[in-house]
Amino acid sequence: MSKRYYELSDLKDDAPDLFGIPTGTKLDEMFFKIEKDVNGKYVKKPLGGIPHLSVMNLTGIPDSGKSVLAEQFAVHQANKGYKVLFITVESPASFLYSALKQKSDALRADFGRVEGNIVVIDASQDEELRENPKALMDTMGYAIKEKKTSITIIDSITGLYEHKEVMARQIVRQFFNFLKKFRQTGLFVSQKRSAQASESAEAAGGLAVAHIVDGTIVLDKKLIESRWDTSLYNLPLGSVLRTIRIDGCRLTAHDSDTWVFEITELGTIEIISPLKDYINKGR
Amino acid sequence: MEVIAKPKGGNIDKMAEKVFLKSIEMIGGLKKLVEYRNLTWLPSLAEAAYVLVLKNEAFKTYREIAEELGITEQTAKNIVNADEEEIKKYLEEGLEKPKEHIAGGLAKLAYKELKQKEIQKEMQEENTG
Repeated sequence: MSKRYYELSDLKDDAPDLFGIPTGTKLDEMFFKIEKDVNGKYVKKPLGGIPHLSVMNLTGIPDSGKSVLAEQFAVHQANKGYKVLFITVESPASFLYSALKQKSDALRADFGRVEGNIVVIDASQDEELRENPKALMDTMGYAIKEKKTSITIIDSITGLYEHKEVMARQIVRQFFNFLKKFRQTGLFVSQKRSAQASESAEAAGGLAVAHIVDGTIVLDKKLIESRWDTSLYNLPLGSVLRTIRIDGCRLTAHDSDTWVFEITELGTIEIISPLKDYINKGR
Repeated sequence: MEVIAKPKGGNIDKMAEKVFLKSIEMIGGLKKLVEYRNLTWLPSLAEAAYVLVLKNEAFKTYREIAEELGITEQTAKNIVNADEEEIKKYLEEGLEKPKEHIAGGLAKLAYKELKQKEIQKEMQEENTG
């Protein structure tokens, strides 16, 4: 019978070190830890990325930039030499290839290296991988072990429980535990339904995802459609204001502001400034 | 960019069966079993085949394997850590009976050979595809 309880000190050696896995965006400065400086004063120190070994949920309404951020993270890490496992549930692998190549060029990354460091499981074209979590997890286990990946991205986790949202909590929990067991830093992209408040952390499947994962990053977009909007945001009618916010992280402290970001013409994410500053400065 | 488009891992029962049969083939085949007469180690070999497949293909922990097969964690560890080269020498040269888990070592030799063949097949498919 294995041990089912621990003295707190027993866990010391298994506790992961707290450091950041960079996304290559300003998001890396939005996670931080509190440390004592040489004068014994507590100071905020940027983590430099999403917490190592965390499983984060990236959620938002359609076209809010979720996949763009997930792909940018994959390219950034692969370019640094880390192995990334990318499970594509929505877009076929050939389309993902083009998107990653484009991002790699925009970020001036070495695409040869990026290509060599990304392993893709194409669940978009295989029903068994999409519908049977065990088959997908066996395949992920194979890829993680054989290809020695340290980062896993699922785009999207919602695609694994489409038409069976009653199973959402169970499926998300299984994949969360799986990534923990295989010591992966993970990103679950999850979709929102139109009925859900767009700025909330709630993803399709109810509160399932947000409560299970280590933290949530919410992406949102607002269409400038009234005179009030144009004067508040100082943006022309018909334009789009995009925002990003860390909606909780149980592993480390984080910035709680809503930030404004843009998707550049080259298809990459650029986080600009906190929304309050953006409005105060009149952009 | 490597793309995996079909499920990997597969059927654990079938894979364990393959390892079991390969092990028998490696010690001389079914005929040899008849000659041996004393077959008390066959259940141990079946157990070892399952342990190796669960560990290497389904990525189970020792605890999970022990619970699934109804054996102790230590037995599972002994099988996975058996020195297959010692067992190979023992089978080929009939040297002194090693301290290693014999069925574990034999199943490991069989598993390695099957894995090697699988890799070669994949490489051939890549070259021709």
